[in-house]
Amino acid sequence: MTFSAAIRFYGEVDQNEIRFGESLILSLTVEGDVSRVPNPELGAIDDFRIESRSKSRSTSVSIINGRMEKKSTITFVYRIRPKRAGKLTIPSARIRIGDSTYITKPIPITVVKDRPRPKAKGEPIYLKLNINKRKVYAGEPVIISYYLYTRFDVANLSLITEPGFSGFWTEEYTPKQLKFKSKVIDGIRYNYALIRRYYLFPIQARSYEVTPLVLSCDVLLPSRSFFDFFSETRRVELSSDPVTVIASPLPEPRPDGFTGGVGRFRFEVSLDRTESRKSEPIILTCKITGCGNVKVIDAPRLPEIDGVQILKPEIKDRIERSKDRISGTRTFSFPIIPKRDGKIIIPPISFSYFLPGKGYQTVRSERLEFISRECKPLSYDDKTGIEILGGDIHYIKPDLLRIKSFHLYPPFIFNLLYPISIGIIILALLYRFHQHRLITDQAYMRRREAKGRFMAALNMAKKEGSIGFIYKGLLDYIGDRLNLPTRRMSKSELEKALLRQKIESDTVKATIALLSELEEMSYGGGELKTVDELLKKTKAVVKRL
Amino acid sequence: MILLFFLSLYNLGNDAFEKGDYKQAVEYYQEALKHSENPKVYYNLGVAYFKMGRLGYALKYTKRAWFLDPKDPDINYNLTFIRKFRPDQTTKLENPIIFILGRVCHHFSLYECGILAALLFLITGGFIAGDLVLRRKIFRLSALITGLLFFYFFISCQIWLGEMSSDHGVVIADEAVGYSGPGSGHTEVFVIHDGLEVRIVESRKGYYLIQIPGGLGGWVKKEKIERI
Repeated sequence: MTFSAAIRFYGEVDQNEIRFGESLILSLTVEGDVSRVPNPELGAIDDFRIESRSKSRSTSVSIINGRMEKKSTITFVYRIRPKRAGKLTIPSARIRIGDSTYITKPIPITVVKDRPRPKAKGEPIYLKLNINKRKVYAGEPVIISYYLYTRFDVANLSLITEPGFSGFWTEEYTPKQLKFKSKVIDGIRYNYALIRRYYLFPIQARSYEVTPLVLSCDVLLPSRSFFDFFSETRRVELSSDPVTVIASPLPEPRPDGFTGGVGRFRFEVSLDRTESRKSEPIILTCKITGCGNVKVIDAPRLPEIDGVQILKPEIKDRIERSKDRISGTRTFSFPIIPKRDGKIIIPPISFSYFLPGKGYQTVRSERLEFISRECKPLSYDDKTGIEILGGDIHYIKPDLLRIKSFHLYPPFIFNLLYPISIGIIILALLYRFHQHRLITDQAYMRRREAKGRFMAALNMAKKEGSIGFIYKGLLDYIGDRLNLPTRRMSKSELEKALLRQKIESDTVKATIALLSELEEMSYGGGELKTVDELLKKTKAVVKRL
Repeated sequence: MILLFFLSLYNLGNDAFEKGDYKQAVEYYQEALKHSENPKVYYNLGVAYFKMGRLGYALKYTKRAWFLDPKDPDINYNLTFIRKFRPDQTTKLENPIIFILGRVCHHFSLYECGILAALLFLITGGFIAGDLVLRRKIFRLSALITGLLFFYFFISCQIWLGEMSSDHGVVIADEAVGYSGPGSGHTEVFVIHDGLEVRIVESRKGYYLIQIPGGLGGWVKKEKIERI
């Protein structure tokens, strides 16, 4: 598009439709009678990345009708690569020549995605992508290998664009040198060699796009004829197909010990020492070895361990990349600081991983233990200032020369003291009760004192030789025993009272008779008897009462 | 003669211990115990077992030494020391009042408490009787004092008897699994370790139903528990 008939400025591309990952050539050409041309301004070409630029110039002189006309063609060549798929536009470029500004037309470009480039049968050179799985679990490895297939010799291979593995943990294997092998495809012999191999571990469950790998190389085309001694070398650009990988979430429920491991692993737990002094840290090492996403496995969950403080682990990875597999070891070193003395037990630690095709696998470590001594930090006795270094169990007791007897239970005889004590208290209570009745119960008091008073009266009678004492003693005794006012009672009243007390009638009659006899004798009447005889008779009657 | 035999076994045990032959020392001490129960033998046996790393047995014999001589400071120290060494530590905080009462009531041995309680009961009875008969205040006051002392010794006796009852046990295996029933086919409830003191609730088919500190119960193989 030009503003001047003398000068033309236009843009063109080598192809309007390309696959995502491929590049295209943009040529901006200035034609006309121009000698010096500045570089054009490309405008906002945000959807493309300029990979290379070059400039070429040609001049032609023509004489028409005797007039010489000079024409120059200056071409600015850009290799650009789309940054995304879709319908894109190369915006207008502008160039200022003299006082005029020349602008190109925008160029529409279609960038297609996920459409493998159809390979023509017998294509002389191409890149082939091999993928082991397109549908995997999150964390399960995907192996993508790029092979170069060629019918000609190639040289100066250079990688233009690495494939895009956004969202994967990626490990790469690059052969030290290309080892070509031979293979016949559709009747045509090809040499092929592994260019790159990638081990991809999808971190999340989602769909992933792997963008193409692009490389360029010199192809040595064979001479066209026997006499053509020089073979032709052509620089070509090769691009692999894009690929989509779908990562599914891991099955639920996940075991407690699962920390993201997908693959096949071995789990080992060890302690660096079996004894800690003065809270010196012991290192608990959990080693996960195997094939799988070793590098993204989180630390195993440690069980509750009493009496220790567990610090954050130090993580070390050792990844081994081979042609066929990726393996390695992830080591978690937990510093454990004892907080108390004694045997500290680390219960078995569980580690679970997901083995595709077989489900979750759980391995448990052995129980470990170590001894913590002198756990307390160095301390000083506040009173004496003595440095306390630690403690141990007290030593054994020394040899014995004689034996002091020890008994677990007290002798049985001491158990007898309990009933004896209770007996004493009961007796005291009875005595107290007796004393109380003596004061409060006159009949009881008279009854309790009857015999004593009676005996005193008899003694007086014996001493004085007076029968009156015997009579009064007997009368009082009956009164005291039966709580009767005998001194104020007639004999018949006394007889009735005694019978009321349910005393045998013979005893009553004998008592009344004795009283009558004693009464008579005390007044000088009746049969004369000695005091002793009367005393004996009275005692016999009293005994019957 | 028997006592001489006991003394020589005890001293032989000490010799073996000092040479570091704890296993031999244990054998001598065990033999000595067949002739006489002595807190020193139990104490040394506990130390020897501790040196062998057998916390359960160490605790058992040190506790037996403590039953006989609770005032011995070495026995008390070792008992606390061994308990600190156990893998299973009791996280439950002890009520301070119960702790102090426990210490006070364990000051005298069961033997001493039994004798003193009986004598004090007799004396208290005498003072009560004296008060009933003679009605003197001094008897009443004396009865009150001796009665309180008797109560202290009587409670101490009961606590000791509770401590010494056969339902107290200790784990003697490195690890013992508690099941929900008497058999390994039942659900695993807990795992306990050497030296943990437990209460034996029931015995059945080679298993003890035990209660661990905190109240959790489970069936544990008999060979993993030793009665104290």
